Amino acid sequence: MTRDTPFLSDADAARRFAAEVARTGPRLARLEFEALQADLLTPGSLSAPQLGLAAPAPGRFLTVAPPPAVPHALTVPLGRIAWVPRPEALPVIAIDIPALNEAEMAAALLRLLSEHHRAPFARFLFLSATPAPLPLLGRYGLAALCRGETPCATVAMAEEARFALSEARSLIDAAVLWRRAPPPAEDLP
Amino acid sequence: MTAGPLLLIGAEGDAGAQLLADDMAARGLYFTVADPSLPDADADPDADPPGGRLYADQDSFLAALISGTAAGGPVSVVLRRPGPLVDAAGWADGLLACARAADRRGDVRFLALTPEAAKAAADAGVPGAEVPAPLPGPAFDRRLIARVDAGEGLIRTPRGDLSLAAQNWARLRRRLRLVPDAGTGGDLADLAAFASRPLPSRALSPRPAGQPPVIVAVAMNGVGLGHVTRLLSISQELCRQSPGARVLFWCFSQASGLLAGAGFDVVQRLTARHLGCDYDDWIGWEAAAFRRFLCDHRADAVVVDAAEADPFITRALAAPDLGGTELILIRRALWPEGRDPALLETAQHCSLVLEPGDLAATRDAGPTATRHALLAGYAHVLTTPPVVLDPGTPPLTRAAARRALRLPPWSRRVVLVSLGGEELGADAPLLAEITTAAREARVGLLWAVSPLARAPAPHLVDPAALRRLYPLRPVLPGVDGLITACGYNSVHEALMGTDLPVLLAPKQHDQLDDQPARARHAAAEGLAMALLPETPADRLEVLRAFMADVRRGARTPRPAGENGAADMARLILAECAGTGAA
Repeated sequence: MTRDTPFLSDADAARRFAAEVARTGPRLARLEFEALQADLLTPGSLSAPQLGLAAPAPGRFLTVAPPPAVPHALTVPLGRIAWVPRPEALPVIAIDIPALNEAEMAAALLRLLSEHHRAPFARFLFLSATPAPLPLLGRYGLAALCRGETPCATVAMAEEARFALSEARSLIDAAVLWRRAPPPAEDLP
Repeated sequence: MTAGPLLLIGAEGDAGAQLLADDMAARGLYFTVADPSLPDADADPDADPPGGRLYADQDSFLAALISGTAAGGPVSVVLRRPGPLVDAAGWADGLLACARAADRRGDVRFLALTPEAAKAAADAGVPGAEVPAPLPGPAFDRRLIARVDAGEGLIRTPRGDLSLAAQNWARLRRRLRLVPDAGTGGDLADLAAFASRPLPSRALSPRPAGQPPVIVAVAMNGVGLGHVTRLLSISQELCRQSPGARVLFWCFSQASGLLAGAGFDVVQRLTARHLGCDYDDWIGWEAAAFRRFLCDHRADAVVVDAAEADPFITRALAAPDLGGTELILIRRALWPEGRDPALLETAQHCSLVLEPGDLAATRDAGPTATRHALLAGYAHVLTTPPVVLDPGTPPLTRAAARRALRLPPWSRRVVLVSLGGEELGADAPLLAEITTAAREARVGLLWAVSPLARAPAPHLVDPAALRRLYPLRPVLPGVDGLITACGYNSVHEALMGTDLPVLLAPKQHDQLDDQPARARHAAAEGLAMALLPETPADRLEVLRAFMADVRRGARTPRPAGENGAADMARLILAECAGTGAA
């Protein structure tokens, strides 16, 4: 090896980097998942923060009418508690979080997110009836919106094009709440 | 122009479409707007709008003919003169193609922005373009006169320059009469002439007198609560000063629950960073959704608290049907010296830039204090007193505050530690030094964690001593000292109208405000003690001195000062009513 030759060729460096990512990714996901578990088990982590201000009736969470379609759908993150080599290959599923008490919500989220950590099968867009879980889900890189009183299926339909949603399911029992319509027969090869 | 509901077709960003939309609105005509570059249900050729279609330029009409969307129903086409980059022969061919299509259809009417444009079309073989008669305007035209400098691509106002390309001309014409430089011809001269026609008073006050405004507040936070807090304070004042006013939040912060809890309707959004998606794709979606939201709610103003107005906002506000919606920027000063001054250029899109005052304003060495925007446009930049969140309830008694903190009424002296955002576990040595100094002084500690932040690891902070608190001010009567980070809200909440010992622990980061400057100012003025970054070795000694003050019950009376939220609300409401500083 002389001063003029690189220590590693570009291809070798890229291969080593990819291998390092493949080793480190799952380890980081494990650490994040352990932090999530601790967070979910901490009382108050899923409580809606109280302002203590002189507030009138609470405000509503509004849904925006779907705008004219823009060419490319947006990606949805896998979340920091899971790792796969190509997350973009996983479908995007909306997960409905109904209004639950803190313990029920924590238990249901732990069930789903444990499975997601162990064997990721989708990228999630959480659609929550209340804002309570948003801060916690956001801390771990999971996408979440508050839908308020608008039904999950309505919001999923409105967001289908923006996020390339394939279906919406209930957090409680995985029941299908909405599914993307199949393409018309004439569009099939 | 045709009366009745019609469809205006023109590209976003096209000044002609913007002016035509504004003109129709001033005439009280009902219309919708379509963008020929996007697939849109409004362009359904099987659903002809009753008032017909108005194409803002001949190219849009030709494109519709080719795509088959210019189906039945009356059509009006505005024949535009060429711009500087348009080939003259190609332009003339396009006009003739329109004329041939008009002959075939028999229901096409040609319009022009000016007599000169009509003559140019006639000379090219398409006579008879009508120029809409101007509306009557006020006896005295109060608009500033601005020069259109096509060579530099600028509009030069007495108050500052604007980029020619980045404006909504409907918004411009409310304030400016545009005079092109000598030698400027073609489409740009026509646009300037049309924009400078008399403006009826109802165009200047878009909402009927006495009708409360609709304001859309954009909260850009992803994690912290700084911007949300200021917007919340201002929004409460807006509703107090204008009963019936609606403030709707377009919220990227995970603190949306706090806003709904305060009684405001919220649209929850996700940033490109949240999603990890392509930023240009994200802007496309966000601008389209935001535009639709603003139109649906007929927003009088967009108020955004940030260093600059995000491009999705300015892109949405370039829509032809949003010329009557003002953009107001709430811009906290005290940027770090090295912050990019290009962020100041966002002022050219704004009618108002409001800066909440800072106790440390005299130490501001950042771009907002030392530089001027190159493209300031017609925006007024005004400073108000500091803005703090008003709980709207009487202050808690010491006993009530200690109950809220879950402290027994008889316990030893207690210091509340609030180090901001996600950072409570980030500086472990500092936490250890605070714990050491408190233990030595036999002072208890409570650790405040933002409602959005992860709790620190148990080995750093005793979980029994953690409290999720927001805002802090109501519970301060229940503690004997405060250690706080130096963000804008934290410092002003801690130092305005309080008397307990305060120790400031500033952070340094390019994306944050100049917290060390704020801490140095407070220390120099005797308002608080500070852990200054230039003397890290003294940290434990400063903490010991602070704890000694807490132990002996020291008090430092500080003036309450005025809450700038009231001034900000007044200025915003005046802008919405068309009577503002601009």
